[in-house]
Amino acid sequence: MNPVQWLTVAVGNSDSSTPKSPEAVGGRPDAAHASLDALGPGNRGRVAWIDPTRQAELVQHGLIEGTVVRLESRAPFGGPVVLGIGRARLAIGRGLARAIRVERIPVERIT
Amino acid sequence: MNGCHDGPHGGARAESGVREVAPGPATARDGARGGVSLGRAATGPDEQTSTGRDLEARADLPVVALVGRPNVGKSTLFARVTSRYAGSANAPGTTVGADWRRVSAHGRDSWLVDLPGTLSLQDRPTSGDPAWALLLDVAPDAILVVVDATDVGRHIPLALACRDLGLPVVVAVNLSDEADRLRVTVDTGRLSQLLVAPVFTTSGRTGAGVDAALAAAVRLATQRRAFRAGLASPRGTVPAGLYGPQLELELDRVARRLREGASLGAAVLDPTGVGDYLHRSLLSPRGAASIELSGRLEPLRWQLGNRWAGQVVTDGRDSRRTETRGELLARLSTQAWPGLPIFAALVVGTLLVMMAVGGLLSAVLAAAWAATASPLLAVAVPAIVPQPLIAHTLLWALDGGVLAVLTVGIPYVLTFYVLLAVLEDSGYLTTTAVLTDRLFNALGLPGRAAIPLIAATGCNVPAIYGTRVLATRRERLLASFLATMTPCSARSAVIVGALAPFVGPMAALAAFGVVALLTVAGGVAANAMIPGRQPPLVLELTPLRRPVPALVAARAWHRFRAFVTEAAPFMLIGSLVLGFVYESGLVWPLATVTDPVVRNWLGLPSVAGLALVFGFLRKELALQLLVALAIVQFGPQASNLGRFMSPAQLFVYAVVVSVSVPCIATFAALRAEHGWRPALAMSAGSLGIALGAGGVLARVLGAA
Repeated sequence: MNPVQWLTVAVGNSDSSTPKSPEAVGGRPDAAHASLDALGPGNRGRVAWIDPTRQAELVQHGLIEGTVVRLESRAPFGGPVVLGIGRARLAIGRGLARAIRVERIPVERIT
Repeated sequence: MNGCHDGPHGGARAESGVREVAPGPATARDGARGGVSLGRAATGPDEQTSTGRDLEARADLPVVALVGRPNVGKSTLFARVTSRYAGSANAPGTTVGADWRRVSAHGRDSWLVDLPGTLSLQDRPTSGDPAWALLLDVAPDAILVVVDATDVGRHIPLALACRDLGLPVVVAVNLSDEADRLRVTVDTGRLSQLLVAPVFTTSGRTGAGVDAALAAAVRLATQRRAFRAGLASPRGTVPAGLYGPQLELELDRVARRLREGASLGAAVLDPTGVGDYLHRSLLSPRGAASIELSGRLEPLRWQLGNRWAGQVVTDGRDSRRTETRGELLARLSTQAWPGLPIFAALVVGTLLVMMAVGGLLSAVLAAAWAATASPLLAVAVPAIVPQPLIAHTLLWALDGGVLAVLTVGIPYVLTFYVLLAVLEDSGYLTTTAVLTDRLFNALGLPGRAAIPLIAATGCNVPAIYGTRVLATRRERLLASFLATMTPCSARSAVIVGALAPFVGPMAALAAFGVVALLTVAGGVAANAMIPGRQPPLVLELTPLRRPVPALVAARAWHRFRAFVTEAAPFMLIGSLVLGFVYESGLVWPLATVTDPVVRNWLGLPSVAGLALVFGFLRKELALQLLVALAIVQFGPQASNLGRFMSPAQLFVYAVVVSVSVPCIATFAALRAEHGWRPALAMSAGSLGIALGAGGVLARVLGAA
């Protein structure tokens, strides 16, 4: 099954009685949310929106709306960003990171 | 792990979302309505399918499939059960294809099938069929899902997806030794209640709990077999309402539609192709519906995973914010500073160790062989075989061929495999994939390609098979081409052997630099020529850890055995052919064919051309044969290459040998993986690059 078919299934049949939020059918990102690659290293964010064409791939890594991620590092030469999701670390290309919007979580100072 | 949580907790009734059903299979809801498909199951599943013959041969025993996310220690667990090393690594995508082993647990025999690690059932771990199809193709009677004790929440979605198929599921909470070290405990009793499946704490590395988990899976598989054969009616529990009433209704609706489609024998509205599997009774209608609706189920499974992890996991660490030393190192190594210097140091260190240890071992082995076996063979073979031509040809294989296997195989290949195994087991290989991702993007490859390409510096053959970890055919072709351009240990040995003693170590380094430039240029050109572009990187990083010597040794040995069984025979046969051509005198007329290119364009002596041609059979012979031919032509003083070839000629020769046409074993691997046309095209491409660059170098350096 190619990604297009997958997405067709992922979005579901139009006659489904399940109510869907605008995000679930691929709504637009909220302007208030930052692009994931704009997070500073060490900062956290809660995923607020994922480009619907990327959702099928990213869900396999636990990146869904509501997931809290921590930006761990950026690879050199404009390379991938490394995200901390719980204990796991996930590297995703910079372009893909821009397809994810996050709600920043303020940094808590530990004294 | 807390002792009271060890052991099975199957069949427990969960708080609200579970109801007990009896009689019926694990998916009793479908069983109650699915008379058609279950009836078909009893009459023998799938005689007409492509895998039918395979399955028939294995129909005697129940089948337990091993499923897990990559890098969860599945293969180590498999090895523990079957007492055989299964090629695991602290790097994703090491298991390629299904591996069948017969196992016995508490007197019950069963097949245990190790499947490639997969992120989800929709993932394509071998870039072919989705994981659910790979899983169902082995016709499992039970699934042993391996999850990571240190991060259970990330693994629950896959366990849920397996359970949704309607097959009996046993969960092994693996890597428990690692979890103990991190002071993470998993309440397996609670997890068992939530998943409605037996849950065991296991450690593939120590073997703890492995037998119990396997025994439970075999028991369930045996029961399901008996049920399918109509000999028993097991009780089962099914969770209900896990995904909310709307989606549950939708699942029922799709299940009904698929079941009707299956009973009609037609694919009615079946975009995933799961109807065929339903038709063959490899899963329940509801299981098929769970595949069709996976796009909506997966996010919910992840939400459940996160919620349940909160209930079953106790993190004993002081704070979630404190990093272990390994985590700190892992974070630092993926950023420019100090990640790039660390990477550079490791690459240079690997090469230096290979050159030093390889060179030393090679010299010692060659001396030992020359002192013992060689004189013995020189006397024994002519004594046994009276015909001199045959005797001398045989000596090429028995003396020269075996010596080549010894002096290339053990010092260089084995040394490299040990180093590679250390890098793999430490978890550093995925870090290199991240660091170099952008660089490889220029070649049309993801950073993941670093893994097979580093292997290529040991031997191109495993590297070409290793390109299977890449997602698309385009990436595999590009990576294979780069692998054939990458100097393997034998070609590195030619560069070092021809240049270091006669011209100097700096010349050897310079030659490596030229070869690297040509490889990159070839890669860029190939990327531009093959249409398409690569998808962005998404890669889960493996944790950094201290390499386990036993695992490193096992992995290096496993690969080395493949070298002995696959490459060594090629080398011996090649020696035999070479020996015959040489001893029969057929070799000299050949020189007139190669002379225009070799003498005029590359500015090399004729014998060098012959050595280049025979390099197709065995790359490392390109140097030995050069010396041997030179001695015949110029007399004993030619054993010193520096006497009859100038430094410039040696440099050109080393570069051309290194870049030109891959050896016969590499060609065979290319043909097997990609077919004749790409294999020939890549060989022609590398020959063109080598001759072009060689001619230019010869003019720049003054050799021609």
